[in-house]
Formats: sequence, C-alpha cells, structure tokens
Amino acid sequence: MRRNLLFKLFFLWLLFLQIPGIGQEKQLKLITGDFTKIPAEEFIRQIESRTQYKFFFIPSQLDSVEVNLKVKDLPIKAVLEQAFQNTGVEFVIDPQQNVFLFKGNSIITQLPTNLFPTAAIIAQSKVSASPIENKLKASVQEKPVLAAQENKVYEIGSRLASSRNSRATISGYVLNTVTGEPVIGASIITQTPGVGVNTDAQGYFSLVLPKGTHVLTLRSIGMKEAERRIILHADGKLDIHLYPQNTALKEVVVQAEAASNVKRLQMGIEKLDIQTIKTVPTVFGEADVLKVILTLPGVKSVGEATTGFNVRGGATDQNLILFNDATLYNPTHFFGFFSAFNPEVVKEVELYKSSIPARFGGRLSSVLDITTREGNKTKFTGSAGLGLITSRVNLEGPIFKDKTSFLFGARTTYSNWLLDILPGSSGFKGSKASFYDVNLNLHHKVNEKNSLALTGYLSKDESNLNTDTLFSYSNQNLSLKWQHQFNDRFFGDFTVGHDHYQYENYSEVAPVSAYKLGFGINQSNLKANFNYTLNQKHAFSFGGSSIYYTLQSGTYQPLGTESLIAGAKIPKEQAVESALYLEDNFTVTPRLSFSVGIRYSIFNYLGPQEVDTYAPNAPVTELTRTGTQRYGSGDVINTYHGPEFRLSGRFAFTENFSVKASYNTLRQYIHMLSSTTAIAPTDIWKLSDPNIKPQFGEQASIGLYQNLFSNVLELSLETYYRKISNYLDYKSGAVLVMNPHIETDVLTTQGNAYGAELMIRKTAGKFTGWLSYTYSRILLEQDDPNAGELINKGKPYPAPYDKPHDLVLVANQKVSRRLNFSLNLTYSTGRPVTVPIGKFYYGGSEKTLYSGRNSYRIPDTFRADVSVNIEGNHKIKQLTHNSWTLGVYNVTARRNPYSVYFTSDKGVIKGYKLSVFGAAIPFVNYNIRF
Amino acid sequence: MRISFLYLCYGLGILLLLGSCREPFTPELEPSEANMLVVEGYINLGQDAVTTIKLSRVQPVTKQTWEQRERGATLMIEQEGGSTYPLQEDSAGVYVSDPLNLPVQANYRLRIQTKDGRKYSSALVSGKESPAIDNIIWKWDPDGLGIYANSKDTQGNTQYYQWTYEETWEIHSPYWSKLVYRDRSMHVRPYEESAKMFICWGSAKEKDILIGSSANFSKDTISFPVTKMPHRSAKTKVRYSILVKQHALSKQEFEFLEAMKKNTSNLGSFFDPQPSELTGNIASEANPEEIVIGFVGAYTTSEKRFFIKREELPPFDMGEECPPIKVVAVPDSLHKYFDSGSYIPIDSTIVFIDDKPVLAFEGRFGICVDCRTKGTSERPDFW
Repeated sequence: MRRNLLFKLFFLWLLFLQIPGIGQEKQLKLITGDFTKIPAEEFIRQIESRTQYKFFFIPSQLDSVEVNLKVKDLPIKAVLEQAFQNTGVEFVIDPQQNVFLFKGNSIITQLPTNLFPTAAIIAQSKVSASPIENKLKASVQEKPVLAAQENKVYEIGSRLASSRNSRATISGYVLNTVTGEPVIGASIITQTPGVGVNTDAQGYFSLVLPKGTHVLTLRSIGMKEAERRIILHADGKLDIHLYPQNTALKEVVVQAEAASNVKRLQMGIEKLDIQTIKTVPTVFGEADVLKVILTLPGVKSVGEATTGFNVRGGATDQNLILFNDATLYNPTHFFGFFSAFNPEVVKEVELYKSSIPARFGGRLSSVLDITTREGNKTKFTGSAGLGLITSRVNLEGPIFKDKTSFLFGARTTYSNWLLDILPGSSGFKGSKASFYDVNLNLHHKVNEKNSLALTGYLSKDESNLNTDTLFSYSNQNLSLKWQHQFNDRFFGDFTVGHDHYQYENYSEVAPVSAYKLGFGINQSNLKANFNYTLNQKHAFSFGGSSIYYTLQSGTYQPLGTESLIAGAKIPKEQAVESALYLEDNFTVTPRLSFSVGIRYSIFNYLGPQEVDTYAPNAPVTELTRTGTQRYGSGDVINTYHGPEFRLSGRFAFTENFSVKASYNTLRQYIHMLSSTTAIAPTDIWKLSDPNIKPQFGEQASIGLYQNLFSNVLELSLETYYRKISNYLDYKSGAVLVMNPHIETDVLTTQGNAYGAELMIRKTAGKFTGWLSYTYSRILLEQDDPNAGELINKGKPYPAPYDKPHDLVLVANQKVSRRLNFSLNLTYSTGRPVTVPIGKFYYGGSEKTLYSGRNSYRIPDTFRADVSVNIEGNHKIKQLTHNSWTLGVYNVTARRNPYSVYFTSDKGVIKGYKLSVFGAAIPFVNYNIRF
Repeated sequence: MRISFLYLCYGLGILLLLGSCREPFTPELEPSEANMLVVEGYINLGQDAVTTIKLSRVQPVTKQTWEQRERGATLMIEQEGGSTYPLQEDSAGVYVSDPLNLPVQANYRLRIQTKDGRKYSSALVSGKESPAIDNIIWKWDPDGLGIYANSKDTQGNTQYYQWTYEETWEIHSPYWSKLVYRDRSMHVRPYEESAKMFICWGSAKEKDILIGSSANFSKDTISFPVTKMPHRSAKTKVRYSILVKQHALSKQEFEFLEAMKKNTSNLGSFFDPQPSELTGNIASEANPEEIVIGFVGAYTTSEKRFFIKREELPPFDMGEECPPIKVVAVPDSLHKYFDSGSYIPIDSTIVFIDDKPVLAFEGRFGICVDCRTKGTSERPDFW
C-alpha cells in the first residue's frame, strides 16, 4: 500500500509545492522491450526499472489488467497508450515524470488558477479519448472551469477584470461525472446570500452573485450532495460534475431533493426519479411509471388496471402527458395493465397538479412530464429484463465519443404462446394479447452552445382476450429539439415534432357483420422556449407553441366480402392551437418569492368541414337542427381564445417550514368522450367547434410544507378548490361511437372539485417511503334546461371518477446493499356508477330504469403488494450484473372490482363485477446489465 | 364499452392460471327504488273522446317476468276548477273513461290512488288542440314501402307531435280446405268454416314511440314516416289499411318520450346507448322524492284512415312455400299427419301404389290453409 499512500501524499505535495514551468520538461528516454502477457503491475515495475518515471496507482484497479505489448524506441506516452488500450485505464503524466494511472474517476492535476502567480499546467500528456481529455483541455485553455472537487477553490473570471459591477454571473453545466449526461433540475444554492437556481433541461444554470467568495451547495435526485467553493471575480463559467449516489451498481436509491419541497417555489409538483419508481412493487414486477404516479396524493384511477389517471377531480383527458415533449394520447398497453413508458429509458417524471408553469397548456388538470435519459456518451452499456409476460432490452453508447450518443430501448410481450398452449376447451385458445414499444434517442452536442436531440417513440398494441373484437392501437411520436445558449443568462430551445395516435378495432366473429372501426389523431407541433436571467431577483421564461391537429374522427367499414355492414365515415377535423407565454420567477427575498405567468392561447377550428347549426336558446338535438354550413379547405370556422393566468407564491417562515399558494386558469380545446371513464381504444376525441365549447378550469390551492430531522422527514398538506366549466357529459341514451353529430348527444356540465392532500415522506435511511392520504370530491352539475335535459334533476352529482378517500403507503426497507423489501398498500373508495334498477314496459317494448346518474358506488378497493429485490454480487469487474425481483401482487387476494357492468341475457339483466386480479399474483423478474 | 371488458379478466386470469374473477354484482337498491309505478296514456280531449291509461309496476332487473300490471286502482281526470271524471278498469291494469267531451281551453291533471292507498297526481297541464292530419301517402322507397303522415299547423303552435297507428290487412289463404279431420276420421268441412279459414284480417300496432318535431323548420309542417315494410310484404298482398292517430305534445312531454325512446333493454356493447334518466310529470302526493314513471298530457286526437290496394303498388310476388303431402286413407296415417293440426286436409285425391289406385287426402301446412293463424276472420267494420 506504499503507492496508495504516495498517491495521497502527492496531492498534498501538489497543493503546497511550487510547480516548475512547462519549459523545464526535459527530453525523456525512449523505451524498448517485450511485455507479452504480463500483469499490469509487473509491466509498471519493468518500466520503472528502465526509466526515471514514477508510477502512482491504486493496485486494486489494476489487478485484473493484463498488458500484451512489444515496443521499440517509443516514447513513454505511446507505450502507455498502447499498453492500456481498451482497458479503461487512463493516465496522466506530469512534468516531474510522475505517471498517474487510474480508472473511472478523473484526476485534476490543475491547481486553482490563482494559487500561484504563474498558471501551472501540469497535465499535457495525451490520454485515451475520454471525457478527461476535454476536461483537461478545457481547463488548460480558458473556460469553462471544471469543478469536480469539493475542497478546492475555483476562481471564476479574471481577477483583473474591471470591478465596476459589484455582481457577476456564473453559469455552466452540471454534469453526471459517470455518464457525462447533464443533471436536470439540480439545485444550486448559496447560503450567503440565500440565492439559488435549478438547472434546466440541458443541465445549464446561471446565477448572479456578489463578487467574492461563495460556497455553492448542489443537490439533485440520485446524485451525491456536493459543495463547491468559488471566488467570483467577473462573469464566467463553471461546469460542475456530480457523482451519482452510488456509482457502482446504480442500486435502488430513494433520494428526494433534500429540503426542496420547502424551498421550491412551485407547489403541487411531484417529482420522481426512476430509482424511486423501481422500488414500488407492481403486478408482473415491471417498474411502472404511471402506477407509481397513482400512489401520489391527489392522483387516482377509476380502476385497478387502468392507467388513465385522474388528478384533483379531473377527467383522464385533462392530463397533458408529455414524453420528451411528445403528447401521448394513450399512455398504456394492454388496456392499462402496463404503462407505455419503458422504465429503462425513463430518467425522471414530474407531475404538475397545481402550479402549472406557463410553458404548458392545453389541458385542465395536470401535466405529466416524462423525460428519458440521454445515451451514455463515453461507453457502450446495456441492460435486459426478463419477466413472465414481458421482456425488454436497452442499449446505449456513443456514436462519436463525447459528441453523439444513442439510446435504444424496446419492450415486448410474448403472452401469445401462453394463450396458444391452452387447451381448446378453455375457450381462450387463440386469444391474442401482444404489444411492443420502441424508444430511440439520439443526442448530439454540436458545441458548447448548441445541442440537438432526436427522440422517437413507437408503440403498438393488439389484443382480443377472447372478446369477439380485436382492439389494436398505436402511438407514434418523433421530435427534434435544438438547444441553444445565446449567452450566460439567455438560452432557448426549439422543438419540432409530430405525434400520432390511432386505434382500429376489428370484429370478424360473424362474417355478415364483420367490421373495422378506426380512429386517429395527428398533431404537428412547433415550440420555442426561452429562459433569461435578468438578475438574481428576476428570471424570465417565455416562448410560444403551435399545434396543428388533424383528427380522423371515425371510420366504420365492412370487413370481408360477406359483410353486410354499411360503411360510414365521419369527416376529418382540423384545428390549430397556438399560445404565447411569459413568466417571471421573482425572488423578493430568499424567504419570499413569486412566480407570475400569463399564457394566451388561441384555437382556430378549420375547414374543410360541414358544421350543423341549431336553433338558438334551445337544446342541441337532431330536432333543433336548422341547417348545415359548409366550409372550404383552410377556412377558419371559428376561433376561441383567452388568457390563462399562472400565479404562485412562497413564503418560508424558517429554513424548514414554508407556505405556498397558487392560482391557475387553464383552457382545453380537445375533449375525450368515453363511455368507460378510463382511456380505452374506443374513446372519441373531439375538437372544440362552433357547437362544442372549450373547457375552462381554474384552481386555487394553498399548502404547508415542513421538513424535520435534517430534511429526512417531509410533511406536506395541500388543499385546493377547482371550478371546471364546459366539461362534457353524455345525454341520456347517448351513442358516442360513430356519431356524426356528437354535439346532440353531449351536454356541457359545470364542475366543482375540492380536496386536501396529506403526505408524509421519509427520504433517507434504511427505511424510506411515503404515506399519502387524499380527500377529494368532484361534483358536476347540469341545471340549465335550455342546454338540454337536466341530469339528476339539476342537482350536483358525482363525476364517474369521484373517489373521496384514498390512502397509499409505499415503504422500502433496505436490509443490506444487496437486499431490500418493498410494501405497497392502497385503499380507496369505490367509484360511482349508474346502475339499472328495474325494467318496465312502455310504448310496447321493454325499457330499463336507471338509477340517478352515478348514484351508486362499486365496492371499495384495498390491496397490498410486497416485493423483494435481490442484487447480484457487487464485484465491479464482471461480464454482467444481475438482479432479481420477486414479489406478490395483491397479497390478501381481495377481489377488488375493476368495473361493474350489466348485460341482458334471456330477458334478465345481470350485473357483474369484474376483478382483474382476483387472486394473489406472484411474480418474478430477472434483470441483466452489461 | 362496458361489456367489452367482459372477458378481459378471464383472459388475464387464464394467462396467470388463476381462473375467473367475474362475480355477480347486485347493488343493494334503496327501498324507494323498487316497484315504482309506471303510468302510460294521456287525457283525451274533444268530442266523445275516451281516455285510456295503463298502470304497471317496475320489475326487478333480475326477474324474468312479463309486465306486472297494477290492478284495482282508482283513477280520475280532474279539470282545473271543474269536475272530475272517473276511469274504470277495463282489463288488467287498463283504465278507461266514458266517452267525454272535455274542452281544450282548460287545465287537467290525472289523479291516481293505488290499491295500497297511495295517492299520485300528474302536474296540471293545459289542453292542446292537435292539428288534423292533412293526408297519408305511401312511397316506394329504395329500402321498402314507407307510409308517411303529413300535417301542418298554420298557427305554428304544435311543433311537437306523436303518432300511433293501427294497421289492418286482408289475408287470403293460398288453399281452400274442403275437408276436416275430426274424431279420427275425415269429414266435409262446412262452407262457412272454410270461408273463415280463407279470408282474414291481420292487425298490428306501433312497436316504438313515434315522435317528431318541426321545431327546427321555418314552418310548422311535418311529413313523418310512420311505418315502413318490405317491398314484398304479406301486409300488402291483398289490401292494406292504416289508421294513424296524431296528437300534439308539449315540449316537456316530447323530451320525456325522446328519452324513453332511446331507452332500450339492450345493455353492454359499446354501440349501445348510455343509460338514460326518465323524469316525468307524475309525483306521489305523500313523498315527492318517490320515483314515478310517466307523463300525462291532455290533448285532442286527430286520426285518418288510409288504404292501399295491391294493384296500386308496383308488381311483386310473394313466394309461399306450401308443399303438398298426400296421405293414404289409413286411420293410423291420417291420425299421424292431420290430428295435430300442423297439416290441414284440403281435398281427396288418388295415389298409385304398385300401379293400383288408392284413396288418399292432400294436405298442406296449417298456415297455408287457415288464415286464422295470422289474423282474425272477423271482418273489421271499416272494411
């Protein structure tokens, strides 16, 4: 261990010794020798014995490295380069003929530039192409300064710079030192004065500080908390590298942004990283983004296996689901048994439910922003997972090292074989259930100021599961994003993309009635977002977006030659939705801050279209239709527009206690009409038109946040009140599928939602997890006789997704580094349903009498899931790392109803409740990383 | 859509080798939501108008029973500020008034007291004059023979209409039966009986609620397709007649009937309509929350009868399948074929067995010989 000690001593020596200049370096002896198949340490001993070079290294890093080399008259640099080619061993040679060998971690041989009058440039030896090269180059040249060390003082800007200004801007990137990826949303805080910012989507930050000495505290999910000491002389750049929380195996880490829920300006934001998501047990053992979202306060779903979710009394279509800026209309596979997001490529999930930043719009309830990782820019890696029903593979790596990377992820299910081996008598033979999804991300760093990201997503589902109908649906998304930094305080991004969702349902059971029912949504997007930091009090964001919609509103076609179905087609719909926004994050004092935003959105419904007109001040029915107005291609049929306000404020009473309040208004121009309340491949999406008004929502909320025990325990309580206008509910006896004048079958209702959300979360230690309780109500009302029939005599009635009580416990107990247990408990009130309560005869035929709208409830839901994660051994050097996940979903085997439905059979109406997982379901999942 | 998930659970259940997870679900109904009263009918105004009201009860969805009529109730028509007119139970659950002469310019309500003593009444409605039916026409539409009622209200007051109809058509049996098999032997059928089996009249009523509105037209005129039959229909084989009754509706009653019309006993597939709610104008006097189904309006009835003769229509032939059987005059054979009535003897005939003539009887399907299986042999008085 002599060398180890020397290694440490070297740094001390480096810090306190005067370093000779470059010119003093003398010509060194060339090396000749035969080093065939010898251990690295032996090789080093031989070199040391023949030259004056002294080697420093950590023996354990080299003990598995072998050298196989024959050289003649080569300089030391070339010899080492050849010797350690493809071993991951990197080296630095300093002018004193010291050679430092290391793996993985970077060494900075540069001193703080102001430590000595002459800038000491020590390292200049070429290192195998690795980030180190750039980092060293960067530090050797001018900016940005790379700050990877805590106990070092970094000097920003020239101390000779004119000092008229008492303040200066420091900006740069925060990067993950292992993958080279930017760290998004990291908080950078100085204690004196109490100023802080978060890094943006490119890992970029910009902070205005008084000149002088500062300590920057960096915090980010999944990264080790870090401090950097700086001396700020003038505007300058500082790139900061953070270490992942656990670099060895990326093992399960539940790490919240410490203290962030108290300090963050926005409220009602839930942020989860993929590591947290992976600890929550799910059915089939597959980490599921949306299932974890459902454990958060204020988020509910109508049934166990539905992934459409309801936020604060909002409908499933009132959530904007963004997957790398692409809008997903059906975020699920298999009718909702799996979410459509491959957990291996997801980096982070943010759910905005009360203060929605002005850059988002178009939906009333929430924004779910899912971002995927960038591919590893330094080396090829991959992972694979095997489950009972699904498998996945994930590959990533550089295309051009340090410049361009790719990330590829794919999942598929292979349950069809299982269905095929069933005996014919089971009745399920030949059932189909298949899906796949593919992610491909390319990221290219053009230069320090420009980068490009191309992301593609494709998913396809096909299942019949023994119904006579084959349900098939697909998402296709492609987007290109250009990120540009204008200067230290001003940067922007520009996105162009296309999103497509479609479904096609087939039924061929009876040739005479075989049909194909299709529906599709296309949207092309343009977005531009800018961020400008004026000073430490004001940070502006502004921009605009435009979406061009084309809806294939429905086709119903005969299938096969024998089919007698008369085909029908509902004309396409077109519209443009555009918006401009401006938002100011105003920090009055470190304790008091505001965010003030306005968004102005405009919606144009476009031709070609035939729009029916109806008698004014009368219910819209087929009988009050007065005519049809025809519009040509490109005609603007009508326009809706209006401002949306996004206001929020925070006051921190103490370091650990704050109060936040927010008020939002939102507009939604696209509506989903569903007879299921969940998102299903039979839903109709409809654009606002002259007969269907846009939905309008406003929300006021207030929250209290308290962190205890050095932020280990987070408590939060939020309450809200929402008003929703023009939410569509169906009329009695409405037919939604293939209805050419759907406005005659829907009613606009007014909604009132209110609730409280309590959350206790433990973020550190061996035991982590959260307990959340939500009380929420959503009542709709249709009391305008002129608008059509009254629902429930005009009294408020619960929306079909009104579930007042909801309690979730997510717990994770770490036993050792290789073993941890997870528990997930869920209780919620059953959702309301309309049930048939009787039958009678009228007008010569049998009729059904229904209860008041949504006046009954399905039974309450309770479920407990457990799982164990077992990691393979922690040796770094092995071909693959593997892990097992074992568990039981629904341990108590309670038959939680997923839905209830009624069917008439031989003159009797029978009710059934359907539990999807009516038993305890064991699962096992095997994961490999390489 | 509700039902399309029906087997999903099975499917996944099997996938995981778990078996079924579909269980019966019978919501526990509130007592107020069982056995509700259903009232069907209207107060018929005008000259010698007979009001007919039918009372029945809502049945539990789980019961496989036919309509449960409400018997033994007391009903009366009340004219606001005037007299009351009782109804008598005519057949089970059907209550009729005497021919009355109620004026249009008045307000009316129906009062009901059921056998168990509960009292119900409909909201006061103002009487409405129904416009006369201008004419009834037929059209040889591509999808069949359509019968249309044309009407107009020059005052523009009506806007909402309801129709009912009674169809009658003459039926001729393809074969005349001279014989009858009775008491295990063949007899000559009396001529009168043969004639009754040869000419009959079928009838039918509307099977659905027929409502229409001129609310969206610039004039209060309406041409309503009352019924439609195939081009080759047995109804028009000889002669067809339809009596169309028309009455005006209030807007509220129209909306009630519109919802009722959309309500079906079909449940389940995603092409089926959503549940509908029915809010009528009848309430319990003791408990305003009690659900009563029905809307009782008051209006005059206008009616018109219309005939179509076969010769008026484009030619068509009715292929009828009436293959003959010839049964040898052996008691056992005759008994086997003619006793049940599924074959009816027409005439005697001769068959040859081993080149020897043998007495036999020709028979045809009962429906080819006895039209009383399709209608009544009583000639309607308007025929």
